[in-house]
Amino acid sequence: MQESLPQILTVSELNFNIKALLEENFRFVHLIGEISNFKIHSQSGHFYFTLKDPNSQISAVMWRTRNESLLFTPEDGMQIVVKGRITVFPARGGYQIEVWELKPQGIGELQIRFEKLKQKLFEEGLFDEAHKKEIPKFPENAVLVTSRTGAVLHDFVKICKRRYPLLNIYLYPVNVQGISASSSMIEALRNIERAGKIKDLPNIDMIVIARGGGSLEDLWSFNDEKLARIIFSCKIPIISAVGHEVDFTICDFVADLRAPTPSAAAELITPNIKDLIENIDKFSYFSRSFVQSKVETLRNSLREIQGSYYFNRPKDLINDFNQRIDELSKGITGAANNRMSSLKSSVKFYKQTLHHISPRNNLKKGYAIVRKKVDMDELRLLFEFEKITARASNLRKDDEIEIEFYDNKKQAKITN
Amino acid sequence: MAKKDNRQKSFEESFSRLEKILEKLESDDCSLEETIELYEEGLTLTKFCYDKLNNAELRIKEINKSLKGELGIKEFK
Repeated sequence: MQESLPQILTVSELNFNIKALLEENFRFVHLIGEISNFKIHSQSGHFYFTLKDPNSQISAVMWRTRNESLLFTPEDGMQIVVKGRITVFPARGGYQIEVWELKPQGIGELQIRFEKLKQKLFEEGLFDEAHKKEIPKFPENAVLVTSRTGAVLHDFVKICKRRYPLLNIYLYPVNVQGISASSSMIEALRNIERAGKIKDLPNIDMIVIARGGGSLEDLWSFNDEKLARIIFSCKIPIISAVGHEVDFTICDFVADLRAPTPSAAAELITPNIKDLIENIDKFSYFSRSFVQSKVETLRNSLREIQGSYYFNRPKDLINDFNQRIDELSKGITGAANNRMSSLKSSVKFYKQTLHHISPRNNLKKGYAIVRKKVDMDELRLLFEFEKITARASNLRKDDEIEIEFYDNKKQAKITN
Repeated sequence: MAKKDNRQKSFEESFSRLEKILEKLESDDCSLEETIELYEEGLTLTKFCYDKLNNAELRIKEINKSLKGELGIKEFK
């Protein structure tokens, strides 16, 4: 038996042969194991981790192009099932599994993680009612954090428009599914809260985080611990509207308000314009009737007071006085009239008496009045002046006199 | 920005003020003068609120990132 010479291979040749052998035979592998040393390469975005069971382990890689469609971020300790192939790096002499698909091992795995995180945050007090911020009743500016595509945005806007058109909605588009979802939502919340970070963004009354329904895996981004803590510390009230009525996420528990669905959130945050108008109508009606009845009541009591005996006392007194004044004035007028007529008759009497004793009357009896003409120049007056002369001694020779008789006057001249 | 705040406040305040006025009018302990004053104030506020509600039109805008990475607001669609 001829001893054949051992075939000497170079390292490269060996590794190449191994590579061909392994890659040929393990082109399609289903593998179950626990994740450890999980890392996301910061630049490339590729996943690097180790899959292990109690006795053995294997390196694993999931390229970015594959892991982008993943619904959740894998974590150390997670039991997963992967689909992939074995690849060999001849340069390092190592082999690894290249993962195409990655799933939690059964629904129970994510469920357990969810419950664990929920319990942890609950114990820390992140869900306490005391921390819940009040949701403004009449919001003006709301930020909607959701996907730019899909029915959620459309339905939400439609309902807000119908119920409360005073609202301004600011859409902050984010990924709501896949491994980048939680980090894109975290970034959104941080930017909204930081004043001036978004140019021209007014004061925000509330933030609504919304996503349509889906499986536990679809909604897994909303169970992110970091996201939960950002929501908790955000100063602006946050409404979580993720999935359907039956879906609960960590985001729902920590938010200030949980809406069963995005449409329900639109209804919860807006007052209904119809109710508002109805309330204002009611106000108009009731306030008018209150005021009217008040005025009517006051008017009635005023009438009552006007008609009351005591209110009319002063009026009666005044009337009494008026009457007395009338009476007195009547008395005074009467008395004055009497006095006047008695005076009138006295005057008449005196007039008669005077008439009897007047000098003119005596002229009839044969008496005469002598008047002497006074020289005008004596008094430097231009008119004639006659002076009654009662004595003969006052008359001189050639004095001109006038004698008045009962019927007429005569001129005469003194001769002695 | 300040303007918008005022506007928002005034609707919310006007509305709650209306509720207070109605409450006061309902209680019998205000004078006739006060009643008339409240009523007049209420009428003004009512008109203001009606106008606001009837003329409002929901606006939607989008927050977006410029090429330089700055965040701003643009009209939606």
